[in-house]
Amino acid sequence: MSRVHYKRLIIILLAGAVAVVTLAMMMVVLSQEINLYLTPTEIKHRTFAKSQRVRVGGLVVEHSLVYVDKKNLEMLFDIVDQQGTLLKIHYQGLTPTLFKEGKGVIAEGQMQDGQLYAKMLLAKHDENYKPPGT
Amino acid sequence: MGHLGEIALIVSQIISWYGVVWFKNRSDFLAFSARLAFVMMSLSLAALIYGFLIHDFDLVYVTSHSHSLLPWYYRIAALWGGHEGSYLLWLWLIYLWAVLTFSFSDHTLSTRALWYALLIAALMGAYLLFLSSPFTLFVPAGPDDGMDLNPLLQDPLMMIHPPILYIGYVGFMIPMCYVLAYFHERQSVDLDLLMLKQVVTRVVFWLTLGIFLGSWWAYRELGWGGFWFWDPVENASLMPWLLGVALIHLLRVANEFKAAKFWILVMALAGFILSVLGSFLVRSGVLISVHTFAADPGRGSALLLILMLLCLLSIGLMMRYKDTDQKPGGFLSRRLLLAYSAALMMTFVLFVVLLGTLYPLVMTSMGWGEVSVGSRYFSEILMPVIGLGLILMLFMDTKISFSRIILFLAGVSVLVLLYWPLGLNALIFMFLIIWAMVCQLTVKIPGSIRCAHVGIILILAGVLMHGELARSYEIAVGINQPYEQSDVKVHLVDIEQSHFDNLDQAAFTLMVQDHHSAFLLKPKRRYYASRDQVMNKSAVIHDGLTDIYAVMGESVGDGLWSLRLYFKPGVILIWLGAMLIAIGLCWRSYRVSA
Repeated sequence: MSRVHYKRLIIILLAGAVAVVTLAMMMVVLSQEINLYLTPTEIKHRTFAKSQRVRVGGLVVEHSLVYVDKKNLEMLFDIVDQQGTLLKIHYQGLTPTLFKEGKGVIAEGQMQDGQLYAKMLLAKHDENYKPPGT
Repeated sequence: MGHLGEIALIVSQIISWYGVVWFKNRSDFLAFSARLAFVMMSLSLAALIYGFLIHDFDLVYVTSHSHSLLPWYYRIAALWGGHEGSYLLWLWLIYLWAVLTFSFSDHTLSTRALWYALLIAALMGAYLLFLSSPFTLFVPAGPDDGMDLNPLLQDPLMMIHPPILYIGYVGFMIPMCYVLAYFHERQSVDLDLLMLKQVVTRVVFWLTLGIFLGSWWAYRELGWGGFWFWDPVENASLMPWLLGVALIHLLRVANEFKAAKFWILVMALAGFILSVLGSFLVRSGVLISVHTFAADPGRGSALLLILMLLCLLSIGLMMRYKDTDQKPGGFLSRRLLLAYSAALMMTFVLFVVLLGTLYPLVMTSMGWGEVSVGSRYFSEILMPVIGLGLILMLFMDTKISFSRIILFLAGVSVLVLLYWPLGLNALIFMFLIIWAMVCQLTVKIPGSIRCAHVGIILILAGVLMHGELARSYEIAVGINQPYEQSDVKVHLVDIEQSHFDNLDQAAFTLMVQDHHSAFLLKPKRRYYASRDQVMNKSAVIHDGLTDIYAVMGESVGDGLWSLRLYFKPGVILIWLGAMLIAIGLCWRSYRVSA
């Protein structure tokens, strides 16, 4: 192997190593930052690390919404999936305009003591305006 | 009129296919068929607009996106309110770009490029005609009234944001066709790199403007409170933009650095593929997004097919690439090296965004569960890259002069006076930002580049300020039931009900007090009876660099209304910066060349 080839080999190996390390670091961050999308039934049959963020989808149960602290918009409500499993959601903040009892919602947050502490509620809309689950 | 529109569409497609099949080597005939097909497409588009204007509810598309009470300007905008109309506009823009760029040019590659443009148009046209025609009729007759345009879309920005964004998306077809033609001719004709650069700059200009308007719309009107969510739909528009910016920087070094040429060709091909990929992601509904306005899995597979065809075409022709330049690469000056690094950096950012966007798709298709990627993935990985970008910019001129030191100190003191409580990371970034800014303002570069660079620095400054200092309150207030805390007081002064064309409106008057001043904000809630839907219109007031932003929510009982209140410093810098980038790109690509 000539000197030039040797140099080129070193450069390629170095570049490859840098690329692999970068990709590995990216994948580590990525795996920490993903939200699992689950149904209340699947939630029931799993245990979670406290830091694991999940997204849960279901229908908001009629008349289940209660305000814990109205002035600060702290509320509790239940969602239900097709199997009829209930999950209690804790949320503090403004609800999306499409959020209604009896309609579909996706809640994102962390599980704690069998409740989902939601940081975000998503009520999806498409051009034909049907919230999910209807 | 629906029939006329459909006939015009069919005729334009027949002309395109005819041109593609029979006039492969006749430049004059090919240009003529492209122009004729464009005219027919325009007719078809006009027919659909006319259908909206006269309330032709026999057309399924008009019925699902319009209403007899909808004002005329929204009826025109409703053309791109759904899937079919958007694609009609797409197709029309393909012809427009192709005719404007290739049919009047006498460059040798133009004929072949026009042929490829017609081929792509014909593929997309077949998709439109067979799978998503906007001219489908109700049989025997349509309903008496329409279902109305999605209230979220009833906004003045709806009239300009989608078409401008589409101009950008579709524009990437031009570099693609050009490079395909270059490969097709087996590199016997030289690439006009200057022309390529001009086109790419134009495309990025339209994309910048489109993304900016969309982000501004979401922030200001829709009451979502943020300017960027790292949502798949947003990423879909960001990816071609990143690629375009990388390509512009790469083209800067193309003449001196031969090794860059191959990558220029690859990226020119990838731009349009990313655009179509974005549209596939948005339209097929494979990803969970907060703003999917039209989703249909069946169409997704057809789009995927087009995407595959485009990829195969690109890769197939790329096999013909030979390294024709035997000259060794020249010595790169510092400026060129910086431009090259900037291109590499942008490409890296593109990969980060691509990975984050496609990861959920891979997971789902492998059956590993449904996931979505949180926005922190993007911010954490991109933070160091942004720092690197700033360092690249401040290395453009390293001379230390008296005026620079003065400028730097002035910047730092303004920062310290205005926003002292910053974390260490933010402080480092702020110093980098001010330094890079001083460098960009004083270095000798063309005004347009200066403009764009200052713009991107302003955006970074705004994002940083917002990230560090934004405050938000989610609370409930009622008339005579104010919300009081140590740092903010909110009074609900008045609620005023009124009725407009197709909506009922409640206008709230809020008085917000912080330490030194008081502001009156008037957020609104609108009720659209045709869709039984409520829309929030947020209210924003600028106080220096800080936006005070309020959006009303539901009534929660006991005379209380839910309310979200933000203090957002720096957001105005983001809009200013985006406009500067757009101005810089426009200036560079549309100036009259001597």
